[in-house]
Amino acid sequence: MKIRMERGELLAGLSRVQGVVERRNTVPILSNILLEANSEGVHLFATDLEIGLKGTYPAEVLSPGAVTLPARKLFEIVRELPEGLVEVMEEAQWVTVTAGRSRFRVASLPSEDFPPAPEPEGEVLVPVTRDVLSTMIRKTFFAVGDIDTRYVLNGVLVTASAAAAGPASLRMVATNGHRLAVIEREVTVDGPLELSAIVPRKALVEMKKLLEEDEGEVSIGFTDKRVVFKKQGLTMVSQLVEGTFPAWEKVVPEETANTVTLNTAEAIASFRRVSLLCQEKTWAVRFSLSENLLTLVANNPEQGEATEEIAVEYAGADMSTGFNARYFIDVLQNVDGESVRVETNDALSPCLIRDQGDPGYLSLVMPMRL
Amino acid sequence: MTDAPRIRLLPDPLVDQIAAGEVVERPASVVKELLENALDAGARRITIEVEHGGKRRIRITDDGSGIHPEDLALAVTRHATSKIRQLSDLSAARTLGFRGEALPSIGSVSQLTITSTRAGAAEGASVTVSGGIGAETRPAPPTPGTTVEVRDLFYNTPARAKFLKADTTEWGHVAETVTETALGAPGVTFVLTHNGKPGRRFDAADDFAARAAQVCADEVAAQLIPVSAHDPERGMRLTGLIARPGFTRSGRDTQRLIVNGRPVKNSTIGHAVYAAYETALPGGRHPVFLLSLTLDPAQVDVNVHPTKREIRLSQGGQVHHFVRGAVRDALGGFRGNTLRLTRMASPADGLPTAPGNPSADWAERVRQAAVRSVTPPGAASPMGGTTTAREPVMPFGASMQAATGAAPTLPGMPTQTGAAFAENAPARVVGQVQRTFVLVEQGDRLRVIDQHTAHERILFERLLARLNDQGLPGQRLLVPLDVELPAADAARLAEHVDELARLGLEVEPFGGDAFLIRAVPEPLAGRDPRALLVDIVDELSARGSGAEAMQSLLHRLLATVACHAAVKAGDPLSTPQMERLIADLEQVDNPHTCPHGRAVTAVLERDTLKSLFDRNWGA
Repeated sequence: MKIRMERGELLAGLSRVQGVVERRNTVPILSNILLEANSEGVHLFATDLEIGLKGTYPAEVLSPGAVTLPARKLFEIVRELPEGLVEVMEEAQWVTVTAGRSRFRVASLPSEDFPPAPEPEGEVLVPVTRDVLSTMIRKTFFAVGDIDTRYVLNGVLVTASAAAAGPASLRMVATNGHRLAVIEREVTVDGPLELSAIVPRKALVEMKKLLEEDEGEVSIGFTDKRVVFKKQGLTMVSQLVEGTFPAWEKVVPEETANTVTLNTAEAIASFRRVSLLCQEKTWAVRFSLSENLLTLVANNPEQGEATEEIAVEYAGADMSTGFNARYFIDVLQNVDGESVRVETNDALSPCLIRDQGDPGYLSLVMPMRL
Repeated sequence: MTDAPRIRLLPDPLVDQIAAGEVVERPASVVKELLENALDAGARRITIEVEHGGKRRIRITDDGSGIHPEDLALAVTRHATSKIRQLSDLSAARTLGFRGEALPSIGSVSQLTITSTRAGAAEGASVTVSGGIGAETRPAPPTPGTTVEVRDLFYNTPARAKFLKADTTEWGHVAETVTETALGAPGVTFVLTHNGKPGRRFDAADDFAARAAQVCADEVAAQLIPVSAHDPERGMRLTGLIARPGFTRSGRDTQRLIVNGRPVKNSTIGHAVYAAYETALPGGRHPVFLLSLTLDPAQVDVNVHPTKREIRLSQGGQVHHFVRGAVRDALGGFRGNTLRLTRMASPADGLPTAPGNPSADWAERVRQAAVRSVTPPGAASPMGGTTTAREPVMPFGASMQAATGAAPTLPGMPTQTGAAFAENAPARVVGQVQRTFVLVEQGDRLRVIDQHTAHERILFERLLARLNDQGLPGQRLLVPLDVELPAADAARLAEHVDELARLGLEVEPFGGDAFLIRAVPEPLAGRDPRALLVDIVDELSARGSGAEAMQSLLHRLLATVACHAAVKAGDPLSTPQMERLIADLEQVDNPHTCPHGRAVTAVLERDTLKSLFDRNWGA
């Protein structure tokens, strides 16, 4: 294999796959990236066996072929190369990377050993625009569980249901077991659609990055086992999380007795300030509601106590409960409205946060017993 | 077509050979059985002579009560024993052997000669059995006690002989067996020879701890501290030696357990010891322990396995609690943390020994013995030089008294060299070296304290104290989770529901043995609540209180917080900072290791310093 391509193109391709390639890997070849040169250009493919990311980049192919190289090391090399053309040439297990007067000889592994890129077929496309998809991921992603042993919580539930062509509701739900975020958007389907899939955290991270890169059009589709994300010259395929998502709908109270409206920006600032004196390794903040006043208190017996008073509209009975300040800040940072409506029934029941600028959005935070 | 073989009774010698397979596996198992018999006969001194790893010859001579001439022939018959008469005796068996199968089994696979004389008898008797055949009693000269000689083990069972290992390997097993048995009988002298050369020698010791010190290598013995506890109500007693905090090994080979005089393995008791060390054990490291536990024989089932190696405890929980408490007390009481580099005073220093003072406090003697701990000759010392420690040759099995005698008591020095850490002597901060260690002069010793591990330990204990004071916030779950527990666990959890709620773990009974988890402690909120609850229940069974159980789950988290908050190696410290660090260190429960198990302090004794300069005169 021998190719010549612009450093910028190669660097972009390599930087995209860094998140997919696991740094620590028991299968050495999975730390590598597959470079495949043919008449279309150069294809870069990396996978951790759960997610695969494949991109095609323009290059002058002097001799077609395929080779695998350490993804991280190659990225570091190309990043330091001068602007201009980079030549990559394979010769008996060794690959020479040349640019200007720099030359690197890098050990490769045989491309035949690299796992093949999955070619998903028959995926059901979800008609969603780039902006809508981006927003839906942004407003739910923060609530996804992290390294939870209940694997279903480490992903976002995507559902849609339509009996026939026409408007349908696409929904994404995320929870870590203590808080929940739900977003709904209306989409127009061109036929019946029945979808319920859990997209893993890592796939969401990669999707977010690819969505933020540029303005190009994207598409997302599902098969029974996989989610397929495409944009110009790029295909990402990820396995779905198997299992049953918690019955989250039952948790959302239909009626709430107490309602408070908060200014988003002010509330974020208050939460940040008060949580400076939270107890070590916790984000525990006490909420006390009295007539037209919300008081936030955090205390750490070693360091002291912080109090924030926020003027609110509230006419209900006095009540007091505790919350993880981080959970509130996460929601408030992602809402669109200038204000949020906070609703609850009592000190131990779920607390709803509604985005005044997005009626299709709902978040829920479970209280903390202090 | 041939007829199917008919069923028939096996001839006795063959039955014995088969039975021997269970009891006699190798020379060491012969030695074990014979030693048990000797001890059961009340021997005070036992000589074990072994040739070619015991494959050629094993000869065990004791000064016990002897066997009646008329009983000799019976002794080599299967299931003949003087130790029990009826089934009910079995549960009260205080003798080591009782099955009556050892001698016939051995006799069936070797040339066995027993010569015995009863105390005061005018004549002895002797019987020889070859491959289980011929048991004629002949008169013998009246040497008090019994001599059992086993020649050519497995000579008639080549299949078994084939599995014997090299002489050195078999010898190692024999020596190990003698050591183990000697631990079970501290008052008895054991002399072991191999091919006519001295092997091991354990002189009669006053108690178990003294014997335990004899069986350890000197450099190990110096790192041990005594354990002693008694629960008269339940008839439990524990004595022995354990590694001081901070002294660990990579293997478990120096862990010995004697229960009612019998060397055994038991995971409950082993676990109790580990549990007592808690944070003093770095991951993958093991403590040294030599413990003797006395229990009501009715609570110990030794008849689990033919070699009596395994035991079952009917009150495992109680025993666990008792052992853990005893070991923890011993560790907690220990303040004289040592990483000693003391040189042993030479016998020429002419120090009076404490000859056979049976009332001498053992703890004191071990502490003194510890002073003679050893730096390998030529090993680099922390002072940058090379110690010139000469190690006087101690005859194998030299008694603890002799060892005690070697403890240097220099004029004008307190005799108790293992002075307590927080005890009396005021500490004076000398300074900081390499921006890593704090040097402290305290009484007769120079302490080198690792500033990071010391501070880490102080912060860690503060965090724990705060946890116990304040409780933890409980993050409520979106969807409560149900967990079904085994009945015993459910009952235990039910007792602690209120206490756990204060620590953030809210559970409520959900019918039967099921529970509903409603909230989890916020610092542990990222974990699977079901797994968390199961862990808590496990910890509850080992620790008894909810706070302790929670503490152990939070342990790593707290240790990490402490580690990050502590001063690092490389941070310069002013004198007031160092003084405060030392003062705080004196207040903590475990000043010996950081929460990850690394050492906090090393000690240089005055003797060490003096010896580096050959300054052997006066104070």
